[in-house]
Amino acid sequence: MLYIWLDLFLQESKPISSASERLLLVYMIAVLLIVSALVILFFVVFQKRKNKLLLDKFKREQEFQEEIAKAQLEIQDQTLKNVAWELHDNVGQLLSVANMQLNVISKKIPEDSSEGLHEIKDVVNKSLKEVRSLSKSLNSDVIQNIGLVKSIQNELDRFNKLKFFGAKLQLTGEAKHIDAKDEIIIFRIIQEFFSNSMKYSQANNLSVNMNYFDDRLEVNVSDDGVGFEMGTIEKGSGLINMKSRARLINADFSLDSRKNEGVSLFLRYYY
Amino acid sequence: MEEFLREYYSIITWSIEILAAVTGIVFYSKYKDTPAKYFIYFLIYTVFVELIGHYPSWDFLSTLNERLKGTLIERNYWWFAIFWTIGSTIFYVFYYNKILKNSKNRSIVKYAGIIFVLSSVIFILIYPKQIFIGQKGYLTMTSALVILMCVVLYFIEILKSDEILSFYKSLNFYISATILIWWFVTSPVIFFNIYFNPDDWDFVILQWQIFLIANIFMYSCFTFGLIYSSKKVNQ
Repeated sequence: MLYIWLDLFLQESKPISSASERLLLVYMIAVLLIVSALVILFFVVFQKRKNKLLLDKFKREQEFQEEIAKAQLEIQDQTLKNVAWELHDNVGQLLSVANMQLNVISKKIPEDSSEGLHEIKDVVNKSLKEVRSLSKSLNSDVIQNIGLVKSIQNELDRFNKLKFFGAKLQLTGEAKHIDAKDEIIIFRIIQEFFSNSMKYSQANNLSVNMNYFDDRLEVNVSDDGVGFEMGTIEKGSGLINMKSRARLINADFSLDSRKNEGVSLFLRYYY
Repeated sequence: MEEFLREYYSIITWSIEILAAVTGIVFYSKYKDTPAKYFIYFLIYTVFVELIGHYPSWDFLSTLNERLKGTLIERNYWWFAIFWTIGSTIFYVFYYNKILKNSKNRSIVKYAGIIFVLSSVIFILIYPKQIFIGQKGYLTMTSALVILMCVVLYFIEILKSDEILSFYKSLNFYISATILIWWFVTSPVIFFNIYFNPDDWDFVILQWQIFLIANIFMYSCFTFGLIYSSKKVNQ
């Protein structure tokens, strides 16, 4: 900024600067310039370093979260497996024994009361089947054995039998091999959706679309229940679990719903 | 060189100021929700300060200037002392008070600004003639101190903060770095002010060179900062 107007026609004589004084001024300015440049340089370097550290910290935290999610999944899976074994070996056995005993009794009692007994037998038989299929759907080893599509079909059959809702599976493309661990995670995500639908949606129909492409699998699950307003609902552990699971297998996940328009889930997984 | 500077010194300074102000106006819409809009106002303000400050050289005011001959305001020292040295310091105090986040730092800046204004008023009252003849070493030094303090506080705050700031995309970083250098570099010149007279052309040319380079540097940095960081602001 030019803040001094030079009066070129000023007559009186004024002090004159010597060359050394002018050099001193230049020197002073050069030193100050270097000092301020160093301050800025220091700032830039320090800031860059800080950014790097912060990014590292952020990455580590994310990794840590992922580890926790994985551990949680493993524990959950183990628990489900234990429950499945218990159901199969314990409750299942008890029901089998009950069934056998009912067979024995049915021969001893008179004809007229055997009708009631038959009904009880039917109920016991149904329970036995139910317990077995439930145990299958809980046990991840079984899921791995029979494959994703079959597992989902089993699950849907179970719903149809229990008359929770009319459920159907649509399949396009040829089923591809998916990594066993990822397969279970995909199944668990879909299972979580089923259990939420059962609990809250009051839906009549539920449909699962599985599209196998060359490079990816797209799963679309939707119900026609009461739905919910996105954003108004508090994010329960169910939704968070689904999301963190999807992140674990690097799948795109989205859940969409509107009041009275049902809920739909979309999952895109690249093998 | 001497002829060139005599001819073009003011016009170059003024046009680079106008460039910065026009850039500010062009990108105003991108900054209108940030404190940076005050900075754009300030750039426009400097253009007018510079424009009016040149009244002694205006031909169409020759009769007025004739009459001013012999009075204290015959020359424009007082104008730049009040509207540049004091005015811009007040602006930067206000601006840093807006962009600093730490409330302690903000109050430090605020009180430093108040003390600066009060002490400047006292200085003018005690030595009323000084600012009319360009002897404003005290004003320049305190102004430099206040502004350097603002910049240093800003830098420290950013370094201490936990957010990742891509400083090279931040307008405030450009402003801070630029005024740090400008005030550091131009302040010592004030002690040599007694030599700024037509009997000492060597010094006059030196001072003009210093200020010309400093101003070109400052306003082109402002212009660059305004253009470059406008992308980020809009995100």
